[in-house]
This record gives sequence, structure tokens and C-alpha cells, in this order.
Amino acid sequence: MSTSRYIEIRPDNIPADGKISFKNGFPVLSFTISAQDGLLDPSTIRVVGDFAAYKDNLATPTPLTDGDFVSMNNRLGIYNVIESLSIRAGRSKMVCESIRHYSKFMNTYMAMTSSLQDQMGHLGQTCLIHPNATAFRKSVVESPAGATVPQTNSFSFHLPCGFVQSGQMVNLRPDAFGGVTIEMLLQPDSNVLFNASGVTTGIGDAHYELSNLKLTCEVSDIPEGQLQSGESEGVYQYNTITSLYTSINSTNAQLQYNLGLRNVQSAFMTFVPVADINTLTADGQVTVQLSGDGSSKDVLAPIRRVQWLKGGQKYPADFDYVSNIVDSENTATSVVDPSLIKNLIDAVSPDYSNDRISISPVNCNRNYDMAESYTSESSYLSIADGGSVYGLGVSYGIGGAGEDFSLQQWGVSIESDLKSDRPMGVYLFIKAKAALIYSPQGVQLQQ
Amino acid sequence: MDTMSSDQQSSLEGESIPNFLMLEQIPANYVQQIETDLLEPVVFTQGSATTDGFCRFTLQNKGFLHSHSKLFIALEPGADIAKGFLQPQVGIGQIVKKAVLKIGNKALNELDSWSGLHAVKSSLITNENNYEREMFTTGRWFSHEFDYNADSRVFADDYSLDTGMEKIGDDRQLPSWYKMQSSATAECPSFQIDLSDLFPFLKVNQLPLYMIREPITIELTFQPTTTLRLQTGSGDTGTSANIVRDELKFCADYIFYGATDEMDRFESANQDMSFSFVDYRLVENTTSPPALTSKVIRNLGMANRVVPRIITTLPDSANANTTILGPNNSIAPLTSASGVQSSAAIRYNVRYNDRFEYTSDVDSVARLFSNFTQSEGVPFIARAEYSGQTVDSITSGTVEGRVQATSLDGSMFYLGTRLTNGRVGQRGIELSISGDFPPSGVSVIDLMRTYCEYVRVARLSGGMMEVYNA
Repeated sequence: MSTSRYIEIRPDNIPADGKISFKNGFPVLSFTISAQDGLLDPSTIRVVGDFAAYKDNLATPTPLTDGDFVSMNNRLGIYNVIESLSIRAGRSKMVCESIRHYSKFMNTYMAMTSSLQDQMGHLGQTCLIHPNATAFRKSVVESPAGATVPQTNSFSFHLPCGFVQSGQMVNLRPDAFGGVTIEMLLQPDSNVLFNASGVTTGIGDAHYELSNLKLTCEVSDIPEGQLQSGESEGVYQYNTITSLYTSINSTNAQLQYNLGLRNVQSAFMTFVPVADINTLTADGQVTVQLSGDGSSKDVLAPIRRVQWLKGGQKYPADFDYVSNIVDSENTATSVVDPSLIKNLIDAVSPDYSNDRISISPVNCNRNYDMAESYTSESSYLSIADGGSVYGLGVSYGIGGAGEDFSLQQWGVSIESDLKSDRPMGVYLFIKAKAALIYSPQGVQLQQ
Repeated sequence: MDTMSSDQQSSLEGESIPNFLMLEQIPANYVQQIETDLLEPVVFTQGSATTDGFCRFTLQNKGFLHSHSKLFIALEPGADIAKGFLQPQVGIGQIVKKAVLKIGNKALNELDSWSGLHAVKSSLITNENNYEREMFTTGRWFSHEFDYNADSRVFADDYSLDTGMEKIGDDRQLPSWYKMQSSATAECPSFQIDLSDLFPFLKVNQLPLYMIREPITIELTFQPTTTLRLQTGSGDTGTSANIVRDELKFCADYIFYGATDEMDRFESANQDMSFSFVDYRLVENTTSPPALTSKVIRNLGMANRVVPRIITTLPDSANANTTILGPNNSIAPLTSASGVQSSAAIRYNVRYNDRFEYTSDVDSVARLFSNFTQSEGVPFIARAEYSGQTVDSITSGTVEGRVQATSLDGSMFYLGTRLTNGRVGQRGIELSISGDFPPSGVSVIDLMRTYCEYVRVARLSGGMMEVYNA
């Protein structure tokens, strides 16, 4: 009978008081699962701890309370705080997977892979997600009026990424893959917390804090007879995410990249006003439509036409995706173009696995503006069912065949109503197959 | 001896006959015919306010017993009940106290406090399925919706159970067809319990009834007639409910495989066969918040057995018909009015074979939730219901006049551990738990229940069944 062990690991870089806070100089959270005679089941990895948010940085900081109207992105919960995720081989420190803008990726990923009931239910307990602006603020960020100690928010979140979700066990033997280091770069406080009415009075030093942190996982024992004869070399295959950032500020945007990836499964991108990133006055983690149509920076600037390109030619569709708003009878519609949204969904989560999803006309529409307000029902901060979901996506190949972009440029052409001088941040995520080859000599990543 | 274990392919694999005992090994397109019998109970006792009810069904020895055969049950409320409903997390299963599957005089599966285990297993059903399907079939309706603030279509301070009906004032009513009323007993709905819910091993295995030469019986013990069979709304003074004898039936589906004589050949090739399956052993004892504060270390027994996992609940068994969840609850550690749980809110560990399962006692409710997920599957329970963390997340509104916040808040604190260290040794399993639990209020812990899942082996030889521990 096979046996295993639950292990728990403290952070590598923990301060004396056990509290990790970007504000107080700890922007990195890292754990090392050491090499040992065992097989790590990466799907069991959880980061456990407590979350608290404060309005100042006094010696005894004051919890955020009702009336401060400070919140975070409610679909992300605890994922708000992770800027990037890196997984390294413990022996050589070789990067096995690195996802920058992890929270931005997770915003779209959560919308495409979990239902509203998931988010109200188990993801609330494990990831502090609660898909309503008011309910989230009250149940996670704010403490009751007059509280001197923040309310307890325990989390135990998983880390969706290719390495963890590959379905393969990781051989931790020193002469095989060896140990694993998981490193998370934390978000600055101003890119996590924001005031829902767009003012910063009294919350200039607002910050979050993580405490009681540990990583837990399960390691299966290698039967004694197989310790010597066990395989010390092998290959892990998984889908990984490559992240890029750029900005656009015109009605006709052209994005072109030499990806250097051989097996691209899909690509998707999300948008946020550059002015809203890393500020306490706006939610920098949202995935919204382009805004700034020439009349006002807060008015949406719909996308009118999209071309996906490979080597400068339209590919995989040999035609333009023309948005529904271009039709003369639809110019004022608040309904988004369904084919563009279908492509986005397919790019994040293939059609056959779409049994848990929370994108809907409630949170994916043109029926909002980009003004910050905690009372206006039309504000992008108020959108129900987890907040706005929007982006563009394209998938390649059939049945996971993928596409080779190692020699030709990947590109997209976006025609929109973006006429104001309002740079829009574009977070681009490329999903590609990767093979991680390990042996006693080391680890090599092939993409 | 030609013995076939459940882990092995059929000895007739060369003849393309699958192992009919293992559901996952039967091709989806395999030829089969289904025969359905609507069985009446051979014994039925209604029970009383102080004594349990009882019924027994005897199955026919033919074909394979379909694991999704159904038990049909209807309740008829006694006097003075206008808003009778079933517990959302258990449904009609709340009336079942004990379930036994017997072959001859040997108990193949025997589950005490069955509804408590059923509550835990039911939490693995998605809320969407409860809302759209289970409400009509099993009476379970555990689902959530945001309770939008007055005059707002986007802002919600809290959430509520979703009954499928618009709220009136602050009260959510259940659909009129679902409610059981003493003034309209003829219109009370019938619900069903799946056979594989009664006996969980049937989710994986199925029984070759035609190969068994002994009588096969299902015995169910029901809760006493008052307070435990039906939840009642505000204003209802009645507490009793009877099982409608004429509606109590077992719908047995018998499967016959193959177009010719495959079943005969399967039987002749497997005159002596065995398969492993899981049963649950309940370890129940009284406890209290002060005892839990001091720390409770309980030996669960199970020495020399293979125990894949254990489930622990901490119910207030005195909760009855005036709450929404009834006695099938499990109370979470204390959360203060300002939403703070103390650093000693919970400590949980399991020790067996001279080793603790967790390196240090688990002190995070979120980690306990993850441990339960890794052991049983994802429970579709909200944070306020599981751990009681957060303040006022559950609406102060009501369902049929029963306040949701007081009934639900921190009332589904299920603990689960998948054991990792092989067969249990001579000293058995020790459960260690301590914490700050509510010392007073609507729900105060009075019991600790642990369901130990353990592996047994059934050997069918010459039509006679023999059962022993693996």
C-alpha cells in the first residue's frame, strides 16, 4: 500500500513577526520544497495564511472600516496580491514557469473556469472571493466600525498554472528533478486597494498584510525497493502562460510580437486604462472595455473590428471580426459582440471544458462607465456578478495541435472608437505547450 | 479457486465480457435490458414521538441491482403545520436515521446517523444542481443568491439561500408545491433517495443479485415522528409528520447484460469471486464547548483496518424543526461580533501508526476546508456557513419565517482527512481537536461524530455471501 505525507513549509524570507507586507519592505513571498525521496503532487499545493487590510501605517495600524469605502477587485480575492508567479527547480534555480501579471491573468481565468456559485461558495473560503462589490468589501476588506483588530480572513489558495495543473507527479529525489521553489512577487498596495469613490483622503498609507503563512502539499513516499531503480530523468509537459504588456492609444492599434514559441495554443488580452494602474483611486485589476471615445475619458470606446495575424497575414481566420456595433441598427446597443466573447472564452478554457463559467450579460456588456463611485450603479466598480469581464482571444489548432510562432510574428489589429488621449494598458497572455526535461545533470525548459 | 478481485478485469475478458461488478469497466454501449419493480415494504412501522420508525424491503434475486434505483418517500404533516419543508442540505434524507443492506443475515453496509453523513456528502453537489434538479427529486435546495439592497440591481450587502421565489418583505418562501401543509395532506410531494446515496459503495460497485442465493434486504430506521422529520415555518405549532405508507416504495431497477448468455457465462466463470468496497463506521460521543476548549483526544478505534478517510462533524443535535438545518449541522469556531477568531480558534490533528497526519496541528479554518476538499471533493458551502468568518454576510432575512443568519452562520463546519499512512495499527486512530466554540446561542455543540470509511471485502461463493474486513 502506497503511503504519503502532508507537509507544511514556512516562507523562505519571513520577518521576525511573521507578517509579510509590501508596504513594510517584503515584496517577495517564496517557499522551497526541498529535495527528498518522494513524489510531489503539485495539485495539492496550497498557500495558507491570513489577510488583513489597514488604512494607515501606524505602529498599531488601524483596520479599514465601514465608511472608508476601500476595496479590492472582488473576483480576485486573495489573488489581488500576486503580481507574478515563478516556479524554479530547486537545484539549478532554472525557471520552470513564470507568469507575470498573474492577478490580471487570474481575473479572466476565474471568470472562465468558475461559476457564480463557485465564487460565492468554496472560492470564498479558500480564496476570499465574493462576487459582489458591496458584499466583498464588507466581508473581506472592512471591519465593523470601531474595530481595533481587523476581522479574520483565513485563506488557503491554490496556484493555477501549467506546472501545478499538469497532472504529473514531480520526482523530488536529488538525482531527479529535485526540490522546487515557488516565488510570488507581491503587488504594491496601490495596485491592490482602491477607494471606491476615487479619493485618497485618509487612506494614503492604506496597505494589506499577510500573516501565518505556510505552504502545504502532499508528498507520496517512493517505495523502498524503487529508491535506487526509480527513474531519475523524465519529461513534464504542460501548458504555460507567457505574459506581455503594452499600451494602445489610437483608433487603430497594431500589436506585433516575435513570440519565439513553437506550440501556441491560444492568446488572449485584457484592457485597463493606464491611469487606473497602481493608484489608490481606481481598480487597476479590472478587465474592462476600451474607454475614451473622444467625448469623455469615462465613456466606453467600443472595439469595431479585429484582425488576428501571423507573419502579417490574417490567421487563423481569413476575415475580419466586425463587431455588432458597426451595424447601423446596433450603434447604441449595450450588448457586446458574441463572436468576440466566444473566442475569448475558447482561448482561456476550451469549449469542451466550459461547464463552470461566470461570464454573462450581467458582467459582460457596454452598460457602464469608467467613473469611480460607490453609489452609482453605472460605475465599472459596481458591476454585479464579480465585476466586468472583457477581452479578446484567439485559439489555434484543433484538439490541442497548436501553432508554430517560432519563425513568424504574432499580431493583432484592433480598430476601435478610442479617440481620447487615454492610453489603454493591454495585458497579453499567450498559452503555449512547454516540455520540462529533467535529469541528474539538470533541468531544461523547451517551448 | 477462481477468485476475481474488484481490481482485476473479469476472467472472461478474453471473451469480451467486462467485469459487471465494476461500473466503470462496463462499456457505455454494452447491450443491456432493464426491468423495474415497484416494491412495497414487507415490514413497516410508523414509529411515534419517542420510538423510531422502520421499514424493510426485500429484493428479488435477479439480474444486477441498478445502483441508481430509488426509494420513494412522502411525508404527511400532523396538525398545525402550514409551512413544512425539508432541510436544504439533506432533503428527504433527513428522516432516515440508519440504513442497512443485508444479504442473508450478514450486513453488507450499515450506516448509523445516516442523515448526518448524507448532509456532508450532499455538500459535494453543486448549488446549481440543487436548485435546478435536486429540489424536485430529493428535496435538497441548498443554493445561494445575493440579497440585493432595496432599490438596487447591483449592490448587495449579503447573500441568501435561493428558494427560487422572490422575497416578500424580508421573507423568502418556498414554492407552494414543495411545502407540506396539514390542511392539504393529499398534495404533499413525494421525494426520492438514490440507492447509491443510501449505500455509498454502490457508486462504484453493483450487486449481481442473480448470483446470490440468499435473501437481499434493505432496512431503514426512521427518525421519531416529532421534530426531526420536518422543518416548520414561523407560526407553525405542530411538530409531527408521518410517512405516507402508500407512497413508500422501492423502485428497483434490475439490469440484464448481453444479448445471449453472457450473464450465465459470467456466473459460471466466477463461482468464487470477491470484491472490495467501503463501509462507514460511526464513532459518536458527547462533548461540549468547554471540553473542546480543554482539548478532546478521542480514540476512534479501527485497529488493523484499511481506513482511507475520516469525516468529523460537531453538531448541536438539539436543533430541531424550528431551525433551517435541523440537527444535521456542524458548528464552526467562535467568531466575535467584530469578525475576529482567536488564535486558538481551532486545533485539529489525526494520529495513527505513531505519526501525526499533519506536521503541526491545523489552526486555519481555510486549510481545514482545503483538507476536506482533498479528502472528499469540493463542498459547495459559502465561507460564512463553513467557518463563520465575516460579519453579517448572510442575510438577516428569513426562509418561511426562520432566520437564515442564525441558522446558517458557521453551521456547516465539516472536517475531513484522507489518511496517508497505510493500514491502521494496533493503537487505532486518535483524533485530536480543540478550539473556542460558541458557549451559548442558537447552536451549542453537544456531539462529536466521526465517520470512518473503511475497506471491506465481500466474497461470493456458490451463491453465498461472506463479508470481512480488508
